[in-house]
Amino acid sequence: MHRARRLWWVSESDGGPGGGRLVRTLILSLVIALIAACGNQATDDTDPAADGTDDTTAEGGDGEQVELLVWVTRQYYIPPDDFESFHAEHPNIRVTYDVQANDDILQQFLRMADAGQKLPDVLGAEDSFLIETYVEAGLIPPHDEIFAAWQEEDPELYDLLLPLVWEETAVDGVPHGASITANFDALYYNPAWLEEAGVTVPFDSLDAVLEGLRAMKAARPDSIPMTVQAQAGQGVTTLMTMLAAAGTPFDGPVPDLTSDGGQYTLNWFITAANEGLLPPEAIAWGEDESRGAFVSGSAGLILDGFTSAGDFNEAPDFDFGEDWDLTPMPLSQSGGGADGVALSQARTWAVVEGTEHPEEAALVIRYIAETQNLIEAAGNGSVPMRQSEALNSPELQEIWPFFNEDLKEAYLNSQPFPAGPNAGETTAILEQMFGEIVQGTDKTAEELAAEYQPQLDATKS
Amino acid sequence: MTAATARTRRRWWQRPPQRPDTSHQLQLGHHRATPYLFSLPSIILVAAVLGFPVLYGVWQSLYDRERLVSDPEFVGFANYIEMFQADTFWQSMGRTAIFVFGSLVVGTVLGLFFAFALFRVVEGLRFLRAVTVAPYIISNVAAAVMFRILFNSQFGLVNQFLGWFGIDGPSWLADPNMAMLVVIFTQVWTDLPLSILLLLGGLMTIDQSYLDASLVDGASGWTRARYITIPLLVPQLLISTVWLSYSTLTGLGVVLALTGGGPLRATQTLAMEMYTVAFRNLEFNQALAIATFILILNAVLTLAYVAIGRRYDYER
Repeated sequence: MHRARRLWWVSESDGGPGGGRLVRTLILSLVIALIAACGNQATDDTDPAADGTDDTTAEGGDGEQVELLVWVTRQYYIPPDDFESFHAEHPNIRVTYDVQANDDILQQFLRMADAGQKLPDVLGAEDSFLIETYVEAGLIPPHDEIFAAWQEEDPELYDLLLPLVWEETAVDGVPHGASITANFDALYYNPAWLEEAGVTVPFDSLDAVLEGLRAMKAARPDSIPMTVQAQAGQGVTTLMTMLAAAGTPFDGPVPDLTSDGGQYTLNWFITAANEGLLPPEAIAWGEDESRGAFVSGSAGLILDGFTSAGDFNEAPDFDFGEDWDLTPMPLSQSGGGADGVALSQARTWAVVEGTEHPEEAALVIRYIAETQNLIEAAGNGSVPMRQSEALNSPELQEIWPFFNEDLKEAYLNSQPFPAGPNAGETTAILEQMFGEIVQGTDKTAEELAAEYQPQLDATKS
Repeated sequence: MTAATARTRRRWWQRPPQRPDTSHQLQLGHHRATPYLFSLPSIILVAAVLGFPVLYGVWQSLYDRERLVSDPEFVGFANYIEMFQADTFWQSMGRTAIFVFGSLVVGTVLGLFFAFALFRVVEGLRFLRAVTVAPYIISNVAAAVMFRILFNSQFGLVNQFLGWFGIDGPSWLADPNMAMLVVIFTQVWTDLPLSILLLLGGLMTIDQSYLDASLVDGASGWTRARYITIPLLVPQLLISTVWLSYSTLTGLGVVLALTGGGPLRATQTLAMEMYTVAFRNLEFNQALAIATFILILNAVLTLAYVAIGRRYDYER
């Protein structure tokens, strides 16, 4: 019976010693296979050619074929020709890019670096406030030599860039990237609503904005004069922009809510929310709902990033000048001299540490900074540039007819967005406070500051 | 009983008992190690793919980094002590309890309702059983975005529908209590198909003779369900409960995309707290402590469900 049921792989012999040998042989084969697999892995780690990136490296010397990988957080920061003219200018360099999730790109870098994997050659980061963390992690090298070479080889282009391009990425006084473009917030308004309420722009103070909202509410009692986004996880750019405009001092990303500017801003929002000038539902609104309320004509005013202007400009039946317009954020509490500053959120380009082709990678950054590429990227949905020629170009004016002199001036005078490694924690606390205000609170500005400032200060440690 | 007695009692149609043949003991098919040997690749694969990351995560929860990129320092259970001392953790625990309990109750009741309905569905409508699976194949993040639009207080369809009846719909996602209800409803919507399929499968395996006998005894539909069908469905209800509980306790996609943990942290569940600590505060080791706690809580809850289920398993 047993012989009849013998399986094909069992030895024809009586079984005893033969079966044992087979078991041992199988175990031995398995162990050898495992060792071989580990051996291959070790080879992969050390041999770039074995990990599928063999064509990204090349031997040194002139005329070598170089492949560069760019990681960027938004497609529209890449010039629309997808580096075609760059390839024509540098036939030995081929650039490919990969769009990475903005909220995970640093972690992705860290994981890959920990695993000893090949990193991209160029980084296009949206969260420039994390540059210091990238530097601390050894992911971005000092760029002083790279930029010195740029200045020497292409002084014309170098000089077109504003000083903030280098200053914003400075760690211990040394630049670690180029913040070539930056977004900034402006006040979008519905011209018909303002006209109806007898409100004129530009606003000369934050008090004037509040008065304008009251006038709009009086003209349209059932309306939402101003829309904001206050959903958890969506950030507090509106609040931060107001805090800065009112002259609040910051320690990294932590605002001083007890300061004159901090108290003014809290009072401003408490008043606006309690008078029904902000929608309480905004606590559940992200940018989609917030912008949707403005575009659909449900709200008369919105403080939003400049990227929205490009989107609004392309929206059907939503005409610039007729249905929407924009004006700079006033930087004074009650008029007179400026109390605060406008903020801009930079997008930074940097050569990644460990790239085998730092000079070629630097050429990619130069290419991004070229006037025509910046203008074309702007037309593709990108943000304003810190490059004087592109900024003043008639072609840009054609693409962005709403980018008037007032806005340009505000942009040129803007300061970097308050940042630091504790920005995430700070934002979560401010979101909580902002949500409380937007929903309507009985607390005073002093009470809110007393409650939240210690939490904010704790993130500094 | 002796072997001789056994032999005498053997009937003609029965096979003779097989004698143990020790000469074949070492053949591959009979070696004691053979089952383990064949299982070894799977064991190695499961250990590498599932076991190692879990154990590594638990191990890393015993470390801390002063800054994101500094070297990890072994701190023992300090992350756990810090976690248990944080008010936000206990607040998240409370919300998670509501979330899990709510999802279990709503999910089980709806699961039973739909399973009964689909079991009794007429021939021409049996395709509905397949259609039921549709929500399961939709990403829960996509579902959450869909529900976010549906429950928007300004232009959502739900409030528009209520408006037709003269009802002024609430601010679903802006009100902390309503937001939790919407989150539970959305989570159940994404998880329900599997529960329905499990319960439907269970209903199909119930011996019809029990139900026929009860009909003869004059039992009503509810009596049959209460005393026959549901008790016999206990094994499937147990699996459904474990599934719903696990899915809700670890569920992040729905909460993240629907409310982001708001308003005012009203839907900040444990999974959401873990995400916040990891990806906003960039404190990965502390987040792993929360993840480990969720893992243990899941295991404990599952064991509890199994223990309770066994008490009511009438087929055992």
